Amino acid sequence: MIVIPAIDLRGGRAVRLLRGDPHEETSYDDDPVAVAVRFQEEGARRLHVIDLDAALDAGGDNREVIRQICYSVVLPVQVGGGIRTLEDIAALLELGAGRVILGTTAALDPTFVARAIEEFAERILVAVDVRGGHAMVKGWTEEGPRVEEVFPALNEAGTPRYLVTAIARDGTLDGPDLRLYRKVLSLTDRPVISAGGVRTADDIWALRDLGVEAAVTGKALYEKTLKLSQVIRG
Amino acid sequence: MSARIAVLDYGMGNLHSVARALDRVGADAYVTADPAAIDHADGLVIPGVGQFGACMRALRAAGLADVARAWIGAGRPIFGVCVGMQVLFAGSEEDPEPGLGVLDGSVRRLPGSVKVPHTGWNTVAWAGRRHPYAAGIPDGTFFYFVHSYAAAPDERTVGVSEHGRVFAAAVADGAVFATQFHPEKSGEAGLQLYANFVGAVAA
Repeated sequence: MIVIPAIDLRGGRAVRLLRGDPHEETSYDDDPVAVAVRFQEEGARRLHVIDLDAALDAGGDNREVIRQICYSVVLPVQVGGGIRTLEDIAALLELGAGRVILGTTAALDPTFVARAIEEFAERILVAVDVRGGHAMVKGWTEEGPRVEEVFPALNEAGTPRYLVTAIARDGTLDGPDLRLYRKVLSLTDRPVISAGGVRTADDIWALRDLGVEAAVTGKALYEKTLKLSQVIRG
Repeated sequence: MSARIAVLDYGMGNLHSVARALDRVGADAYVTADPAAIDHADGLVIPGVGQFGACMRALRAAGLADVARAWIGAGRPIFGVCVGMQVLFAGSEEDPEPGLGVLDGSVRRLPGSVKVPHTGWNTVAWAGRRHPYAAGIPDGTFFYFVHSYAAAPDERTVGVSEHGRVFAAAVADGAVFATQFHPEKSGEAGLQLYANFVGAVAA
């Protein structure tokens, strides 16, 4: 089972938000590059980096830090946050990203998704952020269509891989929303990466048993309720 | 004219940092999964990070296992890095998925008596006849490692390192060359190694 450590960037620092709320921020380390290298040394096989400033569209971004992270580790880095155009995708791949995450707002435009996949294929990771059975858009503030509608359309567009976030669990350490992932896996045959709620190694095993490909994990690693060495053998 | 180096893109590894390091030493490096673009290159680099089986399955799924084998079969120069070295072997203790089988033997886990993964800087002692790619790099130079599995030294080993046991840090067989460490993260010595490869390929 692959656990993908998450690094959320805001103003050049590594932070964690609670349920995506920009006012509920915890800062963990001033040097995100050092955090990335530490995850690598602990055995991570991939990293997940989100540019919150770009995602929140508050002006400014963390692209220089992302470039430094990609330059400083040997691991592939999946990068997301505020990606709205094909130019954004190309720019992040050029910075060194292994995969680029299309946020849910962009992902709900099937024409855009299809074009992105045509051009960048497996380098695209489509994010579907879910609350109450609905995809949530605009920084998780607006309710979009139900997941039963979202996945067939995205499958059709050729989505190679999904990142599904259970918003209500994000940053909570409340355990993953297994019901959601069971549902999602019934709606697609593509690989699904989970995010949100992981607290312990048992949570990781529960996700694995469902058939989830990998689990993005943030707070559990920062708060040390989960150690990478518990879940990564090699 | 600078040597064209294809960096094999099968989704497993930080490909751009490899390509950038090759560019820095004068190559025209490009990241690609397109067999025609690969065929157009003078040299091929197989990077690789992660689980052995996942890397092999990704190589096969992309049709690149056959491309790599054909390349090697034709005696063209190839440079494997980390798991990109391990996949050259017949297999790995990490996964039942077979490797490319270009090199005999299999890759084994580092002993439990030391911290695994082995990450960070470690020395490499050149072994046997000094390989041309190692020219200008002193014995005992530090290189950067991130791995949990490694091949045992044998007659194709051209550099050894030690972490719990002595293992093959660099291997060579004809036009095949590979390192368990990451030259692109190994500072000047790593760049020198790539420069020697690029220079030999261009010659």
